[in-house]
Amino acid sequence: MLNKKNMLMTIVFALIALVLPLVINAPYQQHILILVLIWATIGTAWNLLSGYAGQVSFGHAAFFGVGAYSAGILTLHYSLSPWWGLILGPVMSMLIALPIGAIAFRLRGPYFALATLALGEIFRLVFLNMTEFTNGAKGILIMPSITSKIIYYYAGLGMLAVTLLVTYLIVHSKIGYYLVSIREDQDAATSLGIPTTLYKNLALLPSAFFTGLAGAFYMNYVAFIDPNIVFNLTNISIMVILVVMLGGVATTWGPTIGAALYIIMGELFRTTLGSANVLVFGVLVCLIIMFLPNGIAGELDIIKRIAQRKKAGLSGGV
Amino acid sequence: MKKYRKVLTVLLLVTFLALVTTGCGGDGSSDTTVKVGVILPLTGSEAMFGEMEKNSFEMAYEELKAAGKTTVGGKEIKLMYEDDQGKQDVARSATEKLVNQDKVAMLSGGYSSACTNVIAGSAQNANVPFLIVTGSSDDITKQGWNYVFRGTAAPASKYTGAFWDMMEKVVDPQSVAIIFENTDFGTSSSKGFRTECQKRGINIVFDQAYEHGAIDFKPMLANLRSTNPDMIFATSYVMDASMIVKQMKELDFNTKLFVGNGAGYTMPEFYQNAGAASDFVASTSLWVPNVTWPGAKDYFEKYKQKFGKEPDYHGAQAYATMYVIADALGRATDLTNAGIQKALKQADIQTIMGPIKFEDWDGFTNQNKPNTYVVQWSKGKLEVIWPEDVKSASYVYPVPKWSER
Repeated sequence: MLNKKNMLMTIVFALIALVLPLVINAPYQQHILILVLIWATIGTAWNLLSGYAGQVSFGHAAFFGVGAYSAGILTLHYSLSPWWGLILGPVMSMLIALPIGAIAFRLRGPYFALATLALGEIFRLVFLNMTEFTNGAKGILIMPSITSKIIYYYAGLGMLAVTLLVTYLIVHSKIGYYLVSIREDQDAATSLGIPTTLYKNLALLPSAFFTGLAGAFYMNYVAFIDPNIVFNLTNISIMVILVVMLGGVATTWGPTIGAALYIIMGELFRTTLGSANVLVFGVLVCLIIMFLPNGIAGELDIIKRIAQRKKAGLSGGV
Repeated sequence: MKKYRKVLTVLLLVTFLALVTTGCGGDGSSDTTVKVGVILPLTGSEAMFGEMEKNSFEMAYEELKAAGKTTVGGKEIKLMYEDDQGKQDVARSATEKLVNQDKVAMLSGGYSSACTNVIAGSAQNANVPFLIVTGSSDDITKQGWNYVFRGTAAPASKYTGAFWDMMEKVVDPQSVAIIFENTDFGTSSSKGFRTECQKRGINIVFDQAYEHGAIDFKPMLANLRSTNPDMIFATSYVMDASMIVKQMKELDFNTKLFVGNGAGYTMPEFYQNAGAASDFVASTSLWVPNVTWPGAKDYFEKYKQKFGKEPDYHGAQAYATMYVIADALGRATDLTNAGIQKALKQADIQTIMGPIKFEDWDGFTNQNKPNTYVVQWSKGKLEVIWPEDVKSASYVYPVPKWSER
């Protein structure tokens, strides 16, 4: 639970995040920050299922895409503001998570990962081919009613804050301990009487919910989606894994740190290195993952422990 | 706990460092240049086209510079390239950077329809003129966006103007088959084709999308053959295009005419990959080197000599766009966004892609009426076969069977 000092730091952190767009009053930099917030949210959501519960998902694009399409289809077919998607999107993502869980949770480890990968691709193909309903490959283009970056920033910040808070509460409750036990040894957990499928679903549902929320927010912000973008295997499903690995798997702040690093570094390289940018970025990400296998947040914990020469606590440092 | 503080410090340091660095980069906005942002896919799967377009921009720029046309109102035109990696959120970032940080006078570029959509939306929001090079989804110029201009690119559903003329006068097919890659371009253009077929009462016997980048087309082609169409209309990029015609040859599948819808079917790589199977394949096209517009042939030869590769219509689009930009900036009474928007709207310029004017028609805004052609491969050469007044060779129809070649 939050102790006083912990709480204080969180408040300071929140305050800095609140004034950041006022200090950096330039739309381009604010745009980058908004992208960071979107990715931090997806990362945090993925982290709950795959980091804490150990069910590595390669199919989070399905939830992201369904969230985004919920917002887009509201505008396309029902002429409603895509902002309603922020309510509908996460709910729809949760609904599709139920059958996905029912199918994929029968499998473990790499088989689970492969199943989610396939499910993500299935969604892409379905949305690509249901042209009457989704506009197919032509995608959905909206003209956003709000153009001020500040509003998107604060909305995104709120989204991330809620995601972090809910994840934190889940992880530090009984459910959280059950999830970690499932990750560490599912058979042992079952033998102790933990209903593993139920608890895996309890990790999957909020994870899908917040990924869908980020998807709906993305539709509102970027204002154009097509199935190849929002259900993309490499640009969404794999990217979220990289973001979290970079920041630190199964840590509270890891996904946020990872998103900030990933987005800002990627953009820096893109604007400065010309055509070699993707290559250099890729090599750097490989190096970080090789030498800091627990991510920035994970390794900081170890560094701190070594510095204090104390007995190591539970690994994973939540 | 201390962990928090450390994490926090690192995060903030990185953020500020990054923002400060990127912030400094673009602040050298001097009064001696007019900046034009060009967003192209310079890396990723579309890099081949982005590269060709960038080269063509540069070539046109050098020519204009030699003619003294890159200095407008005492200021030098400066092209600022940004890589969109073929991803639309990167395209959005690039637009934000060019508009807000580099403070460009106008934008150009836009290769894939997805990226072009996003750039156009952001440009319209910021009231910065955006002149599209390639992105051809119909919707982009159907939004009523007055700051978005499309000159060298036709809306995807209008690639087929000259083609329909030829259909009426020569081919008159009773049944057609449509195959297309499942992308924005593929869907838009086959939709246009389908509507036109229905209007003309042509029977569509087969209509199927395939996954872009597929390898085995034989199951689809086998189904297609059983419907025995007079003509096949296909929209594909280059690798798929060559695979399809090669596999048709392997299956000994004959039709009276195979028509590609630009894109892959007109590229030099199509012939290189498909070899003899490319013979007699026809295609719609927006541009061919031996078209009669002044400068077209020169551009083709010069590009080939300079870069050792043959350009196709994508390069010509970029080359012509640079001329349109220089013309508009030269005529603009003031070099503000609104001033340039006005100058673009009044443009009436002859380019290697034909005359370019931005008009409002058929629900389109600021859309040039495209000139289209029908071309046909003949032993590795692309010949213009329609319209007849600009043709470089006569059409071959119906095409000989595979066994009789």
